[in-house]
Amino acid sequence: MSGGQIPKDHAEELGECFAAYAPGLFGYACALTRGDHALADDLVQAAFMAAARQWPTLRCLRDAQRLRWLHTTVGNLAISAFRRNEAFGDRLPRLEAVFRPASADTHAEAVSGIALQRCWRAIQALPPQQHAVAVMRWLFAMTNTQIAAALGIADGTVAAHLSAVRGKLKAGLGPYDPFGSEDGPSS
Amino acid sequence: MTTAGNDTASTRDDELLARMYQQVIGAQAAQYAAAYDRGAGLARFRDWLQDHAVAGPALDADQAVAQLYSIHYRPLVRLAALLVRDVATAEEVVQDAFVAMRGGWQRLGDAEKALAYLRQAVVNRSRSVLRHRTVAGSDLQEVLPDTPGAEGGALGLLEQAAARAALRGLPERQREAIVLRYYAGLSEGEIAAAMGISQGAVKSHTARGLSALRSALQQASSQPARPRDSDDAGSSHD
Repeated sequence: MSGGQIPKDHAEELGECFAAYAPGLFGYACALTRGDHALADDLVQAAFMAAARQWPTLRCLRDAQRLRWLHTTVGNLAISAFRRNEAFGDRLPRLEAVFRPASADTHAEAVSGIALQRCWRAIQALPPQQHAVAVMRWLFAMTNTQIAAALGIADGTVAAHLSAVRGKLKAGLGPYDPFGSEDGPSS
Repeated sequence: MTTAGNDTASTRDDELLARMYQQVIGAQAAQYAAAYDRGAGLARFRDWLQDHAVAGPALDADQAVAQLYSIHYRPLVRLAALLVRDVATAEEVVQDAFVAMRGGWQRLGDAEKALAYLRQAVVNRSRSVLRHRTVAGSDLQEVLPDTPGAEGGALGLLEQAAARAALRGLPERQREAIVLRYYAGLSEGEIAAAMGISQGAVKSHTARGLSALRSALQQASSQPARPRDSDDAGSSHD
């Protein structure tokens, strides 16, 4: 779409919308990029630029609807970043140790806090392309074919990545499932 | 480190991993969000906005879209509500259609084409909503926004309820054709465009739908008060 011109009153509304939602979207983008603040910042900016182009319609929507749109857009932009960014691999290894132990009152909370950390560490240890494939599959619920098309790789490659990641993450999860499935301790 | 197991095992793993990703990403997002420098981000966005801003009022296209929105939003929601059978989903369907329509405005160019596009988008999106919705509980709320005035009276309401129930019993395409023809008041040509089928097919869907409705309503009036809510699994292919 051509770089449309943004009327002044729309620009003001966009500023308000940004102030309200940018932090949450930044957090989401940061989690998707495994702590790459600079990239996450770019994704948020790009999402709001896209919003500015769609603003005549978006401004008519309800807040929840608008937020849903922004969320989806950040997700889509992250996918194109996954595709583009080989360099993204270099920025990654600075794994930040930002894990404060959860201020856990109950045993269950402590357990799930620890489990979350363990999973996050397992996710951070994945090679970039495996991370991309895993996010698209399990967070965005995309099919293997959709993932292959989005990343420009073969279907078989996607399947191979997924099976490798499944093994690693299950090992990371530990002996039991803290995320609420019915079957108990599994071998 | 396991190699991939059989299909059921990996389906179970997929559900587990999907839950895990939701929770882990959600928890991390909350932590990262707290660290965001809102001032800096906003300043950067405002700079960009300033480069792209014009002092004047909204563009023609924006005005056209806003006008379409103010005139057609409610009728389209009512139309979508008849197709998907609840108002909240209907609103989402229509809003998505407007977003998509604004995105393609350059191609559409004028309000008339845009309206045809909107109708088609609403019908298509309603279809995919129905496809995704697992029928299961199917307590279909009676939530159509505008009730008729007092002069409609109790009898009118009863008839309306019966008609709506009968309408729900129709196969998808017949219901669409009837709704577009008699509730939205479209012409056959417009219906054909909205549903993506030929005018001949519109005629036959409408005729078959009408005669099914007629016999359903006769049945309902001869043996009253017999709600049937198991529908929808019926044939929906042409």
